[in-house]
Amino acid sequence: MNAIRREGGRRPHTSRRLAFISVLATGAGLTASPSLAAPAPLSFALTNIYVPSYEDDKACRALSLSSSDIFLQGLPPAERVKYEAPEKIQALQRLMGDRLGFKMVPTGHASGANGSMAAVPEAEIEALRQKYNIPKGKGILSFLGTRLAYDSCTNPEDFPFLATGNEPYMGKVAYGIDLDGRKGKGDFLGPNGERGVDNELIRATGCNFATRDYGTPKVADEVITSIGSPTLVEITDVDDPLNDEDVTVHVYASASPLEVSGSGKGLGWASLDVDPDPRFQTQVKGRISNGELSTEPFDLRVRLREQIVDSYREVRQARIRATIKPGESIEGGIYGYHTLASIEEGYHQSTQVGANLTRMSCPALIKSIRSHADAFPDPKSGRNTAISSALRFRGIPAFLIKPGQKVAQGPQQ
Amino acid sequence: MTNMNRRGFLLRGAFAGAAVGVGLPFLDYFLDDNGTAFAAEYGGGRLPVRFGTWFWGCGMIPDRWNPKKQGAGYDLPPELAPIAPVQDKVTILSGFSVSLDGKSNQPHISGNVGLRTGTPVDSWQQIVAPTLDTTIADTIGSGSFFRSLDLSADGNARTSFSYRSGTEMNASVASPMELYQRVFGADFHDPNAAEFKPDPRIMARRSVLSAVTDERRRMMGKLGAADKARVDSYFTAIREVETKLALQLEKPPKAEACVVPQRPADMVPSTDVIERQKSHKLMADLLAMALACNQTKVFNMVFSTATADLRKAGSTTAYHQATHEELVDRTIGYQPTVDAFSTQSMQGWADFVASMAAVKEGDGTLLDNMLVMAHSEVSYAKNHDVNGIPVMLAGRAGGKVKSGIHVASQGDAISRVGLTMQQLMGVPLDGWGTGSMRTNRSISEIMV
Amino acid sequence: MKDRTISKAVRIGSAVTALCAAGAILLAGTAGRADQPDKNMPKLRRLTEAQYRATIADIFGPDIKISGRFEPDLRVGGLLAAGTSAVSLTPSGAEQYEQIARGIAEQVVDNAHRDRLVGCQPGPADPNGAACAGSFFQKVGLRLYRRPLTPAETRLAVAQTLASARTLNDFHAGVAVMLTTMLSDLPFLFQMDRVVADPAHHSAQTLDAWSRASKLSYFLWNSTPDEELLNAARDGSLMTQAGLAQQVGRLMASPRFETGVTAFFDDFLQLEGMMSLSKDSLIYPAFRSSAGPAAREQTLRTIVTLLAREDGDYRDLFTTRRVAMNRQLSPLYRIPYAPRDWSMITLPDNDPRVGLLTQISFLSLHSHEGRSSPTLRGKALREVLMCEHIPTPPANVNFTIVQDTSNPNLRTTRERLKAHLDDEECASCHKLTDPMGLTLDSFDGAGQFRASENGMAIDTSGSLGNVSFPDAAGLGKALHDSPQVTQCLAQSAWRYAVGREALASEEPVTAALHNGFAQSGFRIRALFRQIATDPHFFAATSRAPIRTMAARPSARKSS
Repeated sequence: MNAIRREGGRRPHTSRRLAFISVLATGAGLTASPSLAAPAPLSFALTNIYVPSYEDDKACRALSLSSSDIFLQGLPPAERVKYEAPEKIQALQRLMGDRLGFKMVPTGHASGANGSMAAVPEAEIEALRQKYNIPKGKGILSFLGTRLAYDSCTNPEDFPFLATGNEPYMGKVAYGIDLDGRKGKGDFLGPNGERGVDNELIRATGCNFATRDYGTPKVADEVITSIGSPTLVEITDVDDPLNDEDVTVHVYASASPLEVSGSGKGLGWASLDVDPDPRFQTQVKGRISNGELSTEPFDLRVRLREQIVDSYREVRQARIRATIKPGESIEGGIYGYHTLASIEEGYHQSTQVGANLTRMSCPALIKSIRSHADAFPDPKSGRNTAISSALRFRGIPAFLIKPGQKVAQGPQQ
Repeated sequence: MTNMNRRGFLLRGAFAGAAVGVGLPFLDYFLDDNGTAFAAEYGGGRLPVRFGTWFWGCGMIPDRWNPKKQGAGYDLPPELAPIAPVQDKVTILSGFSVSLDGKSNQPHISGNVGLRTGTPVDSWQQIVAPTLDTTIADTIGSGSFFRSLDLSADGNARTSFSYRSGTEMNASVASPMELYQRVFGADFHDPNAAEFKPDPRIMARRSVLSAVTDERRRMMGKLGAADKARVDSYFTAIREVETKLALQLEKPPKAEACVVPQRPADMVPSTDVIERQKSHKLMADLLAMALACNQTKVFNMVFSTATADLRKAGSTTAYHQATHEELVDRTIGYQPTVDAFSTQSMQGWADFVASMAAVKEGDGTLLDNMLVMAHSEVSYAKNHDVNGIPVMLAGRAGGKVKSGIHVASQGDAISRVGLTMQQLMGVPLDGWGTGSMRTNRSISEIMV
Repeated sequence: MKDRTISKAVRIGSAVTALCAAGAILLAGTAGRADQPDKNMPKLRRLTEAQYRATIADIFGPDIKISGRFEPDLRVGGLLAAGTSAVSLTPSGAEQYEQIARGIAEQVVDNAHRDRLVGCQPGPADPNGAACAGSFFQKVGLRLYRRPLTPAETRLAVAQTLASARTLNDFHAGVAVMLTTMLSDLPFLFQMDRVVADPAHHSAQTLDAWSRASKLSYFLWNSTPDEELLNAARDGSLMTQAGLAQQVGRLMASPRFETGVTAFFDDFLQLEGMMSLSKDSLIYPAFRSSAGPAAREQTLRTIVTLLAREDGDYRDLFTTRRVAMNRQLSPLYRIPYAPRDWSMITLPDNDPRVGLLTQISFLSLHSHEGRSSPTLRGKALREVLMCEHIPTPPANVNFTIVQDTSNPNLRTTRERLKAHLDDEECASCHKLTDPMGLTLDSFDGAGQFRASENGMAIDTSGSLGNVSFPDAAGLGKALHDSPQVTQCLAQSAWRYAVGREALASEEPVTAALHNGFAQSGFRIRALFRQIATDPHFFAATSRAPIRTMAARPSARKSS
């Protein structure tokens, strides 16, 4: 491995190796002196993966309606007047729940370890349905398995009249890349002027309150999400972290939570266990050019554990483009076709509680993403099952601990 | 101090070897040395006069702190600007100094020790006299639940400049929550509560404690002089506990100004100067109520320790380091960061005075019935200068003392200040300090 | 809590200017104090907070909660143990102890504990509970006072219990009141040495068996004597050399000996300050509030593993690359760490960290909140590890000569502190501290490694006396080779064990201890054994006869 010149000059007197490595546990002590032959990988824990929204005041005619907005509009005038005022919002939401038959009942189970969904037997769930008059087969485990919920997010198909009021994103600029190789009329321009950007997801959901106001990089780059199980990225076969034609990118889920430093940001250089769940282990070939990483397309699944949600993002034919600052950060995007199933799973688990807090209408959003979906048609129905999209992420240096492999070690810069 | 002879007699009578039931509380606990009941002093008579010290670290920049005009209506130099709202309540004593008599100037220690004990030495463990606040507490402190309250806003129980001897430091109560628990917690009796029932558990505790301690004292064999002094301190300390328990058995006299405060939120101690000011203000308000509720008559408050650990979050240089390392800015003629911290310390003082003045008591305020001496351990910290150590007074000591004047000295021994404080509080002294710090001249300019 | 004695109260950034002589090894008290005028040695030592807690756990069980604030222990000559014979009790301290005692007593008699801990109550045969109170307080009094109660003490305990029980109409409440008082009593709060004629030398005096049990137990286990040790006191075997050796062997063979070793090094290295150590969260965000306690535990675990469990050479602490590690600390060390819990690891051969001085505890404890401090680190090295005393500045020192140091051209700490060493007045003291501290400056104020500061590479060359070295590994080796370091450890262990300052007349004792320490290969076990079985350990006066070591078996191997 080459000695790398760091910023600020070389440390005198001893030869230091910049070992960007992932460490593997044997359970006993660690051996010294990593081998000089194999190049050491770079590894990071991602502090946030999100749908980035381009800041553009004029991109939306209005914000998409929330389910309580729609419900309010549907009330007879006399009643509407009673619930119109902003301070009545909670009363309105309670009324909506009562009228529409929403349910939220305890399962008696505690959530799983590390913010994960509890395992509740189907028989118990069915019994709960019977007990609380939830239609057979409806309602899902929510709040990480501590509740069984039935509402317009868990079962949007039962509330079609709420599937309205979604504002499409009308801006010209959106994050993303040209996925299909065509510079179509409807394609966006990228923030740096790139042409042919494919991002139907933003078109479908970009005027949603949460996406617009909390999805801009200025805000979302500083936020930590999925802290209980962040995504881990490791780049192996690296000879030169600034320029290398042939590297391998591995993506994992973490079985250890990310810690927060004294300044409220993610704590760098933590040792995090790699989750053995094979669904969250993928790898792909890539290259680094002047510190910019780019990969071949691959199918990717990353965990999304955030508050009451234990879900995942699935992107098909995903390409990663990222800027790497060795020992400091990784920052970039995942561009590809986000499966509707994974988006909808996230909405289901949010439940009406989440919909109320983020001012969305699940039926409307789901209808919108389905209608804008543009890839991977289902062979039977012919309907598209994935939607062109861009995700943005940031990461901090981390050590990845994998079970059962040989140990190597060295301090990091 | 309680009258030992009378008490000893009563105890022997009650407990001479036989198992006797615990009787009524002993009334003699509630008489002061003159045999007059305390109740008269609080209820219909004069309000008690309290004494306290207030400390901030790293002094000031003399040219920007010392007023030029003497007497009333003194000018306010820039670092004193924060005290403008309470200027009429604050007296400045400038130019008083610690004489080292050839001893070393131990940075941040010699000045403080000299001011508080009358003799500068190299470390607190080597002091030759108790700090003046303990002497005052011995004189006026009995009869209230706490002989004195030692407080520090920095979260560290070891930040204290109240010493009975080199090995007997009065540790500080170092957070608002702890102060609240200590004064207004489970053992607090609201003096204005309508109901009062002596708690039999307290009766039992006091009686057993005093019986066993008396026996222990009798059984002590011969000891070396040093050990004997320590054992005496032990018994004195236990006696204090007994006195406190006894006080809890008697209905406290009403305290018109007493309003039991709310439990404060827990504050994490911090060296950030803004956070420090907040925790200090919270503690000052609690202290004011502790005084108004007559839980103590003597206190010591530390805003920032000697070698003031104050800083601004994110800055690599703290107040103390800045005093030594910051360049004097040639365009303005002083160290700007040091100036800022010194001014912020004065803001803390102004907050403290305001907290005391905010409580109405009798015909005036709580502040009128107290005397607080504020000081630092140096004047110009860059040089560890112990000349012209800044001192301020607040309060009128029940009418005995003027406030709002500036007395400038030309290098007189600062033991004159300590002497004056003790005399005003009734300590029978005609002189104080040793060596060239020895003095018998009090500062008459502040007397009414 | 931060220690506020002389050594720490003087946190000087760059302005210690003085004409100083070099420090001398601390053998006879702190600077300025001559040999104690009192011919008798102090016979009372207040229990430290740690000892109090361990004692209650041993007597009443670890589930008894202890809540309240303890009077801070006093550090004398660098050791809290030495301060135990200087302190007494302040009124507020006494109040706190009584409250803590009350909490303990209430738990001992509560329904969950009374059967096991009290074990009896009034009944038909004992209607007012006098017999029960008597047997309880005899049993518990022996453990609390660390000696049997006198008949008068027993009678008083029973009388007071019954009187309180009548007042409160509750036997157990009466027991609790008496127990509260016993826990505030002098013989509980203080180890009280009692003197008897020496059975071996009738003209001389020595500590009695109960005092010996107490002293041994607090030295080797940092807690109260267990039943077996109390029995050895009762049957007189502790007054014989053979009986003493047997008990010492038993105590040191127990896993509880590790607690004793931990307590010694915690005191010696002044680590309790780490419990509340905080760093600027913007400058050192990785040093969270949990880092201080974790770093302290790291150092103590490393020491106990290497020296107590593996019976290693004390000097190797300064040159070892082995260190205890966990996932809390590994980010600060920037190393990967796989196990979920503590374990010993070995850093690679080229790692800049070598030995105790490069552990985060030492580095962060002796720094400022927002930056490193070579002066504080060098001072701690001298005072803590070499028992030297950096003297006070003389009377006429002029601090105005300190150079202004915030020149933007001065980018590294070494450059900024250059004034310390260039200026003669400053240098006389600063040359004692800065050259070692500057070697450690490749570790920032939170103990994290850095190769450069403000873009300039850090020069880690330094010296200790006549020995120069290029880096921290060299500094570790210099400490390893320094006789002063091992002498300091030996005499500190002596002062710790006897709980007071060493007397001038004890110089031969500490010299012999150091010889034994050296002969054993600088084994802590051997040193502690030597101290515990040394005749001076139980000396009652400062004029105890000095016995030669010839009568003892030579080349004593540590177990």
